[in-house]
Order: sequence, then structure tokens, then C-alpha cells
Amino acid sequence: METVRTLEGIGVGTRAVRAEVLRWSARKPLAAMAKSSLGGEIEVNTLSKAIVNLENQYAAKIKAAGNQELHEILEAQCAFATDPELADMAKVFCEQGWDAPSALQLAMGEFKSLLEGAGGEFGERVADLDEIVYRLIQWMSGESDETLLPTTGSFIVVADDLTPMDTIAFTYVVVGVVTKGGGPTSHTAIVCRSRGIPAIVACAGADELVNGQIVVIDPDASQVIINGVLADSDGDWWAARPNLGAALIPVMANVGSVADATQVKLANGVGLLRTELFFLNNKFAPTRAEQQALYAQVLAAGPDGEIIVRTLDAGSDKPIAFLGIGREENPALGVRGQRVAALAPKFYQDQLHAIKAAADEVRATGKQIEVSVMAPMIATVEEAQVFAKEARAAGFTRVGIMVEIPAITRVIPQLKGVVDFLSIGTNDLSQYLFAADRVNSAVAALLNPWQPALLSTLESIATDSAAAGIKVGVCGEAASDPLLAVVMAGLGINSVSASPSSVAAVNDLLSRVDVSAAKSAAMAARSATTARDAKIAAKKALFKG
Amino acid sequence: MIIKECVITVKVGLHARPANEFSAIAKAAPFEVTVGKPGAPLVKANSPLRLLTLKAHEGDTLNIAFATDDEAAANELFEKLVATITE
Repeated sequence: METVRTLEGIGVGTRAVRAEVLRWSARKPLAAMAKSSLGGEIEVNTLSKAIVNLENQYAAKIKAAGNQELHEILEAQCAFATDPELADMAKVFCEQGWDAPSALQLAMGEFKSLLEGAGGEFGERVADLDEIVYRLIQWMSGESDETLLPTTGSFIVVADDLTPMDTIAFTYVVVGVVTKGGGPTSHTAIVCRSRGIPAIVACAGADELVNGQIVVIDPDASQVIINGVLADSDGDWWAARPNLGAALIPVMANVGSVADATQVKLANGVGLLRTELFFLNNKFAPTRAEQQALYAQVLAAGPDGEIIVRTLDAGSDKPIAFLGIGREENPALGVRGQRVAALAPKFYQDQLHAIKAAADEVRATGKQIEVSVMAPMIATVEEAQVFAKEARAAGFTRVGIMVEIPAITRVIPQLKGVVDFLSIGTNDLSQYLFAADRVNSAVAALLNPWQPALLSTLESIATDSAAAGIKVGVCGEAASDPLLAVVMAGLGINSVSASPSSVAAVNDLLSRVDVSAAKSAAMAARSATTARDAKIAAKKALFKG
Repeated sequence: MIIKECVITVKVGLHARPANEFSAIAKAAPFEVTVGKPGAPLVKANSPLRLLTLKAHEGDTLNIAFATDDEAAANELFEKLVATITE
């Protein structure tokens, strides 16, 4: 019997997997510096062709990124690669007799030396510059620029670290990832989370893993288990539960771009259509017609059914240049979400009318959608009244608000007759409930959505909403965890909206539970004392039942 | 040549998205734009790599130089550039 050993790291994802190790081939050392035998002109030409090729590669990957953060990382790398200053400087070295790869390294070396000693984010950019040099030289030496993945089988990719270009090339054969470097917010973690690939990052012992070895990675326990076996309760543990044919509550999708919208045809509508990503790069407010065109495009690409559009949620970590939000000491507690409407009333008016016009335009083509709107960051009944009045004046019949500020959870009975539905944003609700900054990883444990205090808050919102005759859904990141979605159903939540990559899994588990199973999982989780115990208790309730 | 001063208030400093937008705006200008910290040599503002080597953090002061005598055009461009590095 093989020895079973465990390596510790930081888990990303929720599902344990077991598969064969595939070491992501370490980068070959670059060839030694050499003088050209072809002449400066040919070398300059070779390099400029390589840059055009890399730019095209980036363009394709940027299009496929489907994630704002990854999108920005790739765009920044592409901007470095195509910087004319780099080509100009390399040209000088080519003219001195160096071949193109050497000239490129010498030129980039100049920029790197200027960054020496720079810590933090600036120091980290050196890795981006190395990545560009590596990709360009690989192309010039005629080597494949992608590590080839097998076309069949299931593998856990193991690497020292992965670049965004690496991770975006992963196909369905990659079922898990282990990296020696990285952290919970590193590129690798972001991509794996968005693609639903479980990962263990910052795994110091990753060097021990060799090709062909069978390992289990368990993100819940943050462990890699060499020669491990999946427990009955790991992996697709719920496959043994019979499929009842339909999800216990509707599973909708969260959408933030046209690319997202095309991915979620199977979802039961859209529970959260974010509008801020359309405007992050705008310096000036878009016109009503420009907005209408954008919304019409995403509505036409998305699924049928109910589509809940959230009005612009700007401020805090999502700055929008044209709104005129001032500098704030505590932006998460400042003018953000619907509060910004007071600063830029015209934009918000335009937005409501543009959404309505886009909805009418797309419905006229025969698409079966019901579009409603909701406002983010509502703290008082009065704010809800103001928004609802404006939205109804713009022609909407169903109007809702986000529940993410603890204050609004205390006055739900008074919302009767004001709004038609509530949508709980668990990320912000946790941030405000636990006084824990979402962007500070030191307090991340408080933001675990399995925290019993959050579950109990969801329950009280659901109970009060039912009494007031208002429908309530959850559109936060938490609803992308299938088990947690079942717990939510058991707590009385009427629908969930998950990230595009999670819709299928959430729908699958919700199709394998009935009301009583969901209730028992919910009660077990809610009565636990820690987030970890809450999750274990919920799983146990379903796994046995 | 018109020189103007501003302070970076975006948290990340002058790299990533702010640097990309900054260089794109400078690139589209009909005259040369250079930028640097006070007392240090100015670099071409249309180059993301050069901007990166400024290592300009939140709170740092930048001088932006416009190779034009057209005060109105420089002002307009200055405002657009400042918008990319302020919150």
C-alpha cells in the first residue's frame, strides 16, 4: 500500500477531486546571447513580426477572458509587449549586431533594471516583463508557445506558479491545480475560481509531486493528499441522490458582460445583471442611446425568463470616472451604490429609461424575457420608495432592491407595497455584518458565507419577506456553492442566482433535494457554532438523508 | 512647452489600468507628452513601460509636460490624464 501524505496550502473552490499529476513543464532556460549572422535589418523585422503575433494572441485571449480582473492583467501585459519604446530600444541592439532574441533581452533588461529594488506591485510587474520576453523568444525560435495538454483524461496541473496566459489555455482535461506560489487573490486563484476548477495555491511542498502520481486535492481542508482516496462525501458526493427532475427553487445566473450572457442559456433567467462593467473604462457618461444599445446586446444574448437588471453599483472598489465621486477615507461606507444617484441624477434617470427601451426592443424580436430593475445599497425604506417611484415612472412593473446593508433587514415589514422583490448580496452583507473589509485578506475568515450569523440573518430576512408577501432571492457569490444554495432554499429563500460556471452544479444538487431535506440541512447548518462545522453539518444531513 | 503638476490618488499607483489609460490618452495627443516626478528626468507618457519605471505610487506628485503652446489643448488633455490617476 502506498504511503498517504498530505501537503498544506490554501484551498480555492469547494469540490474535492482525485486525478493524476501533470507537471506544467518548467520553462526552458533562454538560449545564450548571440550575435546575428543575418544582419540588423532582418533581426529587427523578426522581432516586429513576433510582437504582432503576440499582440494577436493577446487579443484572442482578452476576448475570451470573461473576467474583469483577468481581462485587465492581460491588457496590461499586451500594452507592455506592444510598447514602441521596447521595439525601438531592441532595434538599437540589433543594429549593434545582436540577434533578435538577445536584443529583446537586452532591451527589456534596461526596463527591468529601472524597476530593481521596487517592492510591492511594481516589483511584481517584473514577472509580466519576463513573461513577454519568454513568449516572444519562443515564437522566434519556432517553438510551440502553449504547453500541450493531453486531449483525454483528467489531470491536476502542478506548477511553481502559473501566468494568466497559462491558465486561460486550460481545457476540460484540467480538473484541478496545485501551485507552489500564489495566494488566495493571485491570478491563478482568480481564474480557477471563475472557471470552477478546484485548486491548492501557496503549497510549499508542491515540488514533491511527480507526473503520474495520483493525488486528491481538497479545497475545504486546503490539502493535497498524495495517494489519497476520495471519501464518500467528497467529489460528486450527491450523485447517489436521485434526480427529482426540477430544482427545488429556480437557479438564475449572474451576468456582467455579453460573454457571460452567452454562457448561461440554460439558467432560469438572470438574477443579477451587473451594469458597472460596461462603464469602468468610460471617461465620460454614455448617452441614453449608447446605454440602450449595450443593454439590448446583453439581453439578446442571454437566457429567456426573468432578467433582473441592477442599476449602476459604482463607488468603493468600482470607481467610475464620470460620476464625480470624491475621494473618501472609507469608500465602502461612503457614497456608493444607489447613494451615487444624488450626485449624477441624469445618468441614473437615463439608465432606467435605457434599460426599459432595450427590454422593449429585445421583446419586440420575440424573445421571452421579463425585465425588472433593482437598486444596490439601500439602507432605508425611504430610499427604497424614492427608487421604486422612479423605476415605476420609467415603466417597470416589477421593482426590487438589494439587501446588503444590515439596517434594511430590520424594516422588511415596512417594504410591503413598496417593492416587489428583494435580492440579497451576501458579499456586502457579510462585509457590513461582520465589520470585515472585503478586500483585506487578513479578515477573510469572517467573510466565509457559512458563518452561522450570516445564515441566521438570511433566515430572518426570508421569514420577514414571506410575511410581507415579498419574494426574496440571493445573488451573492455564496449562492454559487451548491450545498449552500440548498441551505438557502431550506431557510426559505425563493431563488438563487449563481456565477455562470456554477449554474449547472447548483441546479444539479437542487434537483436532488426535496423541501424536507433542504430544511434539515438548513437547520443543521444554522445551529452550528463555526463556519466549518456549519458546512460539515449540512453535508452530513444531506449525505445521510 | 506647458508643464502642469498633479498628485496620484489611485490606490494602485501608476501601473495596471491607470497606466494603460494614461498612455493611451497620451498616445492619441497631437503633440508629445512627457511625465516624471519633480526633479527627475521626464519620460514619454505614451509608453506603458516608461510609466512603469517611474514607480509612482499613491500620493506621489507628477509633472506632466505638453510640447505645445496651446494652453486650452494642454488643459483639456491634462484633465483627461489626471482623471486616470485620481479617484
